[in-house]
Order: sequence, then structure tokens, then C-alpha cells
Amino acid sequence: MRWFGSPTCRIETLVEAHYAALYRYAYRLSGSNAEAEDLTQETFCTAQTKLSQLRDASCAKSWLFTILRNAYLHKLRASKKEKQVSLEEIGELMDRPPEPLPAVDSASLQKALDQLPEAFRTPVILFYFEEFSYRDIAEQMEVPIGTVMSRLARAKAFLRQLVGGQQSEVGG
Amino acid sequence: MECQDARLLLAFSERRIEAVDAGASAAIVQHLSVCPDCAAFAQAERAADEALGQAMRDVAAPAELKAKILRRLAAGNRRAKWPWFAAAAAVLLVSLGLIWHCHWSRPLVTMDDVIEHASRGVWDKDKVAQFFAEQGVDAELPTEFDYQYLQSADVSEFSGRRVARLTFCCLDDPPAMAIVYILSRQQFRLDDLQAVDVPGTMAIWPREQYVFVIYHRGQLRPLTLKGA
Repeated sequence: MRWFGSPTCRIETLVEAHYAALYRYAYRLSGSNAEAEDLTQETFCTAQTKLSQLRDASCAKSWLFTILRNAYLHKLRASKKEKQVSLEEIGELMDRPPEPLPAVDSASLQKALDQLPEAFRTPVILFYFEEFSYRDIAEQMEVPIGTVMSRLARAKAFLRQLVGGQQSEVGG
Repeated sequence: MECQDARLLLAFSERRIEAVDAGASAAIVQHLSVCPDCAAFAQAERAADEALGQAMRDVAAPAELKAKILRRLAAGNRRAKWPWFAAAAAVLLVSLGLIWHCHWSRPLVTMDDVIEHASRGVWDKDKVAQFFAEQGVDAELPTEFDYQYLQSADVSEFSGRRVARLTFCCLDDPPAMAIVYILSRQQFRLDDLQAVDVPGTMAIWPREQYVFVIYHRGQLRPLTLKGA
């Protein structure tokens, strides 16, 4: 797909198409409405200045998500508030999930996500946003696919244990 | 396939992962068809993923967010114009400074300078080619001209691009003068330029990689090599 039209037209098109998904991602990363809004706005401002770098429209969403994650990491390092929890006790091969599966509400999920280190939080968020393949996630995080698989498996196991009520909180 | 292997590969085979090849995927499917425990496990996995996925996506963007983003982008566009004004002002100041400098620092030209310039000699084709190479201009020199009549070689602008330009002049009888622009097909789309010869005015000589555009007064023949 080739781009046509002015740069202004294109950035508005990107906003229309992706602002909601970006906000969701920012919210799940940060756990804060205000921070998610800031991150989303900052992402589009950055994208506006770098629009010439985007040569393939089909990569726009992945590109925007990468910008947002970089902005989030920048803030995280500046605030030195990286959350840490030990995943050592959680194996990758899980027991069969309980049946029936307990309802997962958004707030409980966010509490669980907030306990994950960013390196594990990002792949599990992107995984559940469906459109991203393992390769997309690996490229955004600049890690090998195998690393994505490993982190994803551990993060999923952690989340299922928390939201499934098997473990109220994991300290770390 | 063992249950442990099937369960390890199961999640990844269902999610657009290139690492699980067709053979492994087929093996997983075959195993699930004969192992009720793993089949139940696979179904529970899918259900758990679906539940977590729905919860993960259950975040509504604030109603005013899109408008806020667009306003901020528009404000950013307006601010971005100011650096252009600053740059233009800087260029103007520098230009004024140069003009002022040139006015007050004119070089002295003596008769020795004039004689020395005249005795530099005629450029041959090799020197001309070297000159354009040093200027970073792509040029193939026309072989038809007699370079003893070459008066100058310089780099000029043609349709916004830097091109080689040659000026030939013959003061014999009849006098003749020609200015030749050397246009490269790498720089321009020149398919519309066909061979043309308007006597006393203009000629176009298309070549494989270049087109010579020639503006001339008088005949071209005095400026060319015999038989060209």
C-alpha cells in the first residue's frame, strides 16, 4: 500500500484508526488513566515528527505501539518505579485451568498486571490484543521469538494464578 | 507425540507462530484426536485465553481523547512553522553580511593577473572531464565539437538540477557560438526530447545516456570537428 495525501491527512488517519487501541495498551502498561492519556498523545506527537519513516501502512499499528512502549520505558526509567515480582516459583507448564473458569474482571486483571515486570507485562498484553503475532511482539521488544515465548508462558501462568484466585498476591 | 510435548507446543501452534512447522502442527492435531486429557486441556486453554483476552481488551478510551490528540497535533503543526521563520531570518542576515563583506573586500586586479589568466591555455577534453568529476557532476562530453573553441566549462542549474555546461565560441568568419547543456538520463526523464535542429537557434542531440541541449548563434559547423 502506498501513502497518498498530505502528512496532516495521514496522521489524522492514524489517530482515527489506532487511538483507542493505543490507549488500551497504554492503560494496561501503566495502570493509570492519566498516564495512558499522556502516553497516547505523546505517541502521536512523536509519530507526527517521524511520519516519513513509516513507508508501509500495514506496519502503522506495530510502529505506533513501538513508539508508545519506548515512551513508557523512558518514563519508567526516569521515575525508577519499575515493579518487580519474582516469577521463579511459577512453572511454565501449568496445571489444567479450573473449570468453570472464574470471571475475569478488568480491574483484577490490572492489579495482576501491575505486579509484573515490564519485560513480562508487555508480551502478555500484546498477545491478548490478538492482532500481534509472536514475530510482531519480538520485533517490538527487540528480543528473540524464543524469549517472547518464554516470558509469555510465565506471565500467562502468573496472571491465571492471580485472577483465578489461587494466589492473592505474590511478593517480590 | 507425548502429552508433555503436545501441551508445550499447543499454545504456540495456534497463534501464528512460524517456529511450529506444518509437521509439528499436524502431530499436535493427531495427538489431540486420540488423547482426551490433552483435548480437554486444549479446550480449557482456549477458554482461559478467551476470558483473559476479553478482560485485557475491556478498556474504553475516554470520550474526549481523540479530540485532545487532534488539537495537540494541530498546535504542534502551528509551532513547527516558527523554526522555519527563524531559519529564514538567519539566512537573510547571513546574506546581508556577505553582501556587505563583498562590497568592502574587493580583490585588486592587476595587468599581471589579466595576462596570467589569458595564458592558462585551452582546456582539452580530458581536463574538462576531470573538472566536472571534481565538481561531482555526471557528464559525458560531446565528441562532435572542436575543443579548441571551448571558452568555458561550468556547472549550471537546469530544471533544478546541477548539470555540466560548455560554451564554445569561434571568432572566425563566419562567427559562431554555442552553449551546450549536458543532461543525464539518470537525473532527468528525457524521453520527450527528440533530435531537433533549428538553424541558428537550437539543437537537441539525444544519446544513449545523455541528451545534449545546444543553444547557438550562427552555424554549428565552425565549432565542430570536420566530418562530425
